[in-house]
Amino acid sequence: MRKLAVMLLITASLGLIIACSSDDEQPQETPASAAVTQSQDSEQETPTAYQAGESESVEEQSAQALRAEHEQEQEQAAEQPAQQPQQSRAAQAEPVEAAAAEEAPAEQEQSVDSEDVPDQAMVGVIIESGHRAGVFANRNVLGNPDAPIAIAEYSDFL
Amino acid sequence: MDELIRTGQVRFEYYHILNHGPPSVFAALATECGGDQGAWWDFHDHYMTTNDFSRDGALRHATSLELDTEQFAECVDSEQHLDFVIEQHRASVEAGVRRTPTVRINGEGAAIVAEPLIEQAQALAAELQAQESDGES
Repeated sequence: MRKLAVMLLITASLGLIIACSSDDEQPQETPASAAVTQSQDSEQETPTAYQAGESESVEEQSAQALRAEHEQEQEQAAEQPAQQPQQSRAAQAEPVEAAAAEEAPAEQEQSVDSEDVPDQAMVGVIIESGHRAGVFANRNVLGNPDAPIAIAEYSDFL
Repeated sequence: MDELIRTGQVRFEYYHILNHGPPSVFAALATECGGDQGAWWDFHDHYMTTNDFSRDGALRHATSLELDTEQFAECVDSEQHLDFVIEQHRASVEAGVRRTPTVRINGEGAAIVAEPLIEQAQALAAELQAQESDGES
């Protein structure tokens, strides 16, 4: 009996539904089905909207991050040309210093090897004159140790 | 210049620079060893005019100066003044000496050519004399 009653109720409800749908030509959902549909829609839309918003925010964040990175790159790029000349100058300065350090002995050798014998001989003549005069102060000092004028020669015999 | 030295207005100092290795060192040592027997300037003048930087050459010069050659040879062979001449070289380089010969008047400037040096010294001496005469008057 209960089965029959349930079947009748279902049949009656179906008939009622068909009748309503044929009258309005627009689907009208039952409150229950509408609620289910809305819930399904909300379930479908809400995550979509959230995901979209999230994706946008992620995109915005990533864009902002990219912009920030780009700006940083631009700043670095702007700074690099200013730094590069300094670095290049420093890089140039080092070789120059190194070259100067290398040139210094070379200059010594050149000056020494240039055989400025006349100059040395000239000084030698002066010393010889003073020496023969017999004016000695110290082993390597010729003349009055208290003389107001001191001439110092730094030389190599060669 | 010798007059300036004799009159006590100028003193001349010589410092060893060892730019040519063993010959430079030997000449400096021989000069110092000659100086032990009062012949420092004789050896200085000798090495300014000779190209013989051998031991035999130094001994010959010591003999010609009638020095004690045995003492001289021992001094040279033992490199008795090695530390001194090396220190003199080092101190000179630290003082800025880079070329030889370098000549400084009262510790300032450097002149490679001797003639301007003489002129500078003479000018300086004349200036000093003028100042002295002004002070006396």
